[in-house]
Amino acid sequence: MAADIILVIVVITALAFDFTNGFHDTANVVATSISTRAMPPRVAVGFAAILNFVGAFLSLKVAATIATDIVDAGAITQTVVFAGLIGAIAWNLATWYFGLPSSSSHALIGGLVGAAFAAQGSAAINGDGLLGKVVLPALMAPPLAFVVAGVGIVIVYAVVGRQKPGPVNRSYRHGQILSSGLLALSHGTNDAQKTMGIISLALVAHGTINPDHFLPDWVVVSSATAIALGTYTGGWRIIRTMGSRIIKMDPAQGFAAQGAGASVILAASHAGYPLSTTHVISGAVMGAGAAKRFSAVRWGVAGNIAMAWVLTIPAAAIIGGVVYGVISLFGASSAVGPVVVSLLIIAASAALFLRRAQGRGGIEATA
Amino acid sequence: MILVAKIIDTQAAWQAVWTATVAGIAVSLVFALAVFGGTRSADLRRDSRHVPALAFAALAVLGVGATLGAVVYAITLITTK
Repeated sequence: MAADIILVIVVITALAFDFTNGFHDTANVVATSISTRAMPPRVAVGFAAILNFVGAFLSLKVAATIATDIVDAGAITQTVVFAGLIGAIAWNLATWYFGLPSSSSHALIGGLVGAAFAAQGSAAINGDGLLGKVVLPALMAPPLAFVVAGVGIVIVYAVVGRQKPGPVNRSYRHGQILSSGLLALSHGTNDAQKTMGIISLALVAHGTINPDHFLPDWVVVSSATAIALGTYTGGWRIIRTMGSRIIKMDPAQGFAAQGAGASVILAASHAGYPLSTTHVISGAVMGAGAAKRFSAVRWGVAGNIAMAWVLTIPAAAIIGGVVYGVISLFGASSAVGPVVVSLLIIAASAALFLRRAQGRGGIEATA
Repeated sequence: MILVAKIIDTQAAWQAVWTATVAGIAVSLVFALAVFGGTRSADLRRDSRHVPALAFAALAVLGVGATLGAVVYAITLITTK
């Protein structure tokens, strides 16, 4: 009975994480399009939500590979997964509150690492995997996207710089619809699968399905729906930071950032070296701004974003570890711990949303 | 240095860097050529210079074709990974 309750809680928490993932990462896809008026805000998030939904059905091959090579598979129990998800959700909500773009994937990995560490000690963590698969790609992604988008916008200005701004801007706005569509599709394919992977891990651990079983349709549909709803809800604070607080961009810069970003994400993923969408798009936005004029980038905002990136894995890990510790107080196989933690996180989230709705609190991601 | 080489897949990382660089810059270039061809073609048509307008229109079509080709290839990558 307790195992059934924990399974239901883990599935609901995984879908809640998926919602915050869509909500948090909407900015990567739509911020530049909204900022350059390529699309009205509601149309942009609706477009991104539909393509995230479609993207979730396109490939299911990575659904079972969450945190492998980083956390020992034997350490992953339902309560570890639950604590890791809470760590990731908490960090996503905190960075949303401050309007800072940060990687949802890194938050999830951090949460799972912290929870597994609390459960089994350092033996459960593969440090080399964490460094090679997560930390080093995170260090590489922003400078790479910065340079590619920077060179891209220099080429764009060299080719179209002497043309009339009106038709050029119109053309680049159309181009942004293509590039943001591609980003949304790619995001849905990559990120909804993390939730599918988490739910399938929980179902296997519970004995509902065996590891060779195909993912049940309800898992795919619910994960796709959660990320699409999150995307449609839109993390407007992060959209504002990405779209207009780092640089004031023109449509050509918006296209260069998104086009370079999409190319970097897909090319790196094809080379077997997946990079964080958030890191790539943020780096590309800064590159497209700095190549036009170095001082056009608000480096104070960029610094705050970089700080959030540095803190993502340790902060989510600490929360995941603490949550696992709290659950353990009630007994590792008891459902009371997850129920209590779920109620606490719901209450904290509601308080955060209310506080934000009233326009109070928090440090803005301003320069 | 040897430790770093053991931890990271340097071949995949290097391939990611150069393919991402080439792809990103190529997309910016071909779409810029499409925009350039389109705007120049429209200007020349207004001045009744139909032959050069046609040449720039061809450049625009090539640029748009290459951009759409890149999008289709990207969708193929997304669906087949």
